[in-house]
Amino acid sequence: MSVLVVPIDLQLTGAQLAVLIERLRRVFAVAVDARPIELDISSAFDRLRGQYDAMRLLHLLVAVKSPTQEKLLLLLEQDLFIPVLSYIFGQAQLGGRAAVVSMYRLRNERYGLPADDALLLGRLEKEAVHELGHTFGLIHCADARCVMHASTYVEEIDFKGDALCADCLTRVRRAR
Amino acid sequence: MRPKILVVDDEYAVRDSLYKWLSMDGYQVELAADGQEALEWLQRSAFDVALVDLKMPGIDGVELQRRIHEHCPQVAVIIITAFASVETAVEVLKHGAFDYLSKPVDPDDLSRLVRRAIEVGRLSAENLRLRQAIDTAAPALIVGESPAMQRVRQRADEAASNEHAVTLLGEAGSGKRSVAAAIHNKSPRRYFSLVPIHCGALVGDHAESELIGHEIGALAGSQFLRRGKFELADGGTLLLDDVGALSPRLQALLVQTIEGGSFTRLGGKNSISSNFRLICTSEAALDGLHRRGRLIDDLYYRINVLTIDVPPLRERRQDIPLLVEHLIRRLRVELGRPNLELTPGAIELLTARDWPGNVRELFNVVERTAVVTSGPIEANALIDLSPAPGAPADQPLAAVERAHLLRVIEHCQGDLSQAASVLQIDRALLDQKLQEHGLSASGDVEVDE
Ligand SMILES: [Zn+2]
Ligand SMILES: [Zn+2]
Repeated sequence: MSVLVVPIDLQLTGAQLAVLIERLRRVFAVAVDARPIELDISSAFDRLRGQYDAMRLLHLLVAVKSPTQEKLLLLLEQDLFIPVLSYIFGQAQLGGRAAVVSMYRLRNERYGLPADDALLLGRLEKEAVHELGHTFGLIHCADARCVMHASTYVEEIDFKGDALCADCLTRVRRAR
Repeated sequence: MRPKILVVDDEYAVRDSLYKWLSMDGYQVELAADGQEALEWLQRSAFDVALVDLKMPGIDGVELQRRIHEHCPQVAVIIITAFASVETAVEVLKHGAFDYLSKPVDPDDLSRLVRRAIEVGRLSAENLRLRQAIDTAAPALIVGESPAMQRVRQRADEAASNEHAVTLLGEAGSGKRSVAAAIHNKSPRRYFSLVPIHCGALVGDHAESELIGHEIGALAGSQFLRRGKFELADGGTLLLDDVGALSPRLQALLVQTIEGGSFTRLGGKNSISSNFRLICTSEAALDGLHRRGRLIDDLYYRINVLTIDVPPLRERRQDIPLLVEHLIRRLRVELGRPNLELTPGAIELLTARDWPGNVRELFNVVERTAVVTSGPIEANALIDLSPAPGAPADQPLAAVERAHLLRVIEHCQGDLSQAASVLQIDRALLDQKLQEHGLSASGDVEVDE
């Protein structure tokens, strides 16, 4: 099993991306790589809402030809939604191979607060681990310190830790 | 048994996405494409919540809600509408709907409402079996069998069964936050958030917004509104870490919110209701903080009702092997080393130590050692267990502490909050120590009278 991180026009430095990759490698104990692939996401854009449909993005990802044992994590700057909900930070196939995370609502500036790079990266790391966790079959965890705890509002991401709890970690190791 | 939710919507994309979204939360979800199918599901099995679209061909949401209320009154119905109109809202609420939301729904509103509906249903059903299932599933947060920790556990259990404010007193690293989490997780508020606030960090322009949030446009450049901690804690617990460091102005705002049950976002007009339980932590005793003007009367009398002393690790040495075992079990999985263990000699050495940094320090030492060793961890491999260099051996503790305080404050250029964080103690305790040592620091440093 391995993970391929697919960045699309991310406003991140190479060093910041490297930190994220290292974190994913450590948590999931699998090979993690990052590189752009040929992927046109324009069909997932909803003009009316001005956001990307996360379900359609996952469908596009699943159709990408790559080794079956490889999980794909799409990272992008654009805002995501699913029908009914006004936004989501990310989405994944439970026990599948595709996941997506958006930086859009993780940025302090959008809430009228000073930009904070360290905080932003921390949030991105947690969301990336969280959504990939879903692809390893994890559902939301009752342990409020666990990174698989649900967070639906941006500052709730800050309340939880950046690691999987022992139970979730055991499940990931078994799924591998 | 997992809570069960029925989603009724004629649009496939809506059913599909809600199914996935709710399944991630651990709910058992069933789908119905119209009112007829929904009624068939309800005849076959029991549900906690039904999410019902208002506009559907055939039996519409209002009619479906009426029938559910008649035949399965225990099911909480949440109506989702594309066009929120006051008339329909009044209509569905009059007929017993739990609540209604308009599309598109904010995820935190939906998640909060579903949890609230389940909580209300379960409390009214007094479904003990379900409650016990949740209790046993909760992770162990208070580790230790010493008499001191058994007392803490018992006091925490008592606290979980009532609604009073609780204050946890103890040294840095002793595990006050774990006790707070244990109380929250055992209380009826466990379906909602435990929201921590580090009072020492609550300074500057955005401190107030952190608590009460702000509307779009209240601050330059904001594109979304900000929900403050008071709002996020609604239904749950607000944890004030290092309560003595909260400014008097914000203390007054807190008391006002608790008493009124509501607040107004910065730049807003509407009052937002919020109901949370308060848990505070402090390294310094509350009466001392009150005497020195660090706690305003209204807050002091409110949080000084129920206090729990969390003992320092050196007063419960017998728990150390158990705590270490707890940590090792986690590290075995995390580091992928199923045979990781400590030799009896290493455990003996750990047990003999005084641990001024308490559990946090103990865990740091064991974890850092585990990362760089292979095979069983021997006593002599334990990192950082040599006495700290620096002070000569013939000095009284007070003199060393005084000198160290001055050194750290100078290093932090007089920033007391930063100094407290370097020293890993509460800001309030630092103030107390400065006073004890007769240090009236200069510059930005604030001094008690
Ligand atoms: Zn999730
Ligand atoms: Zn977990």
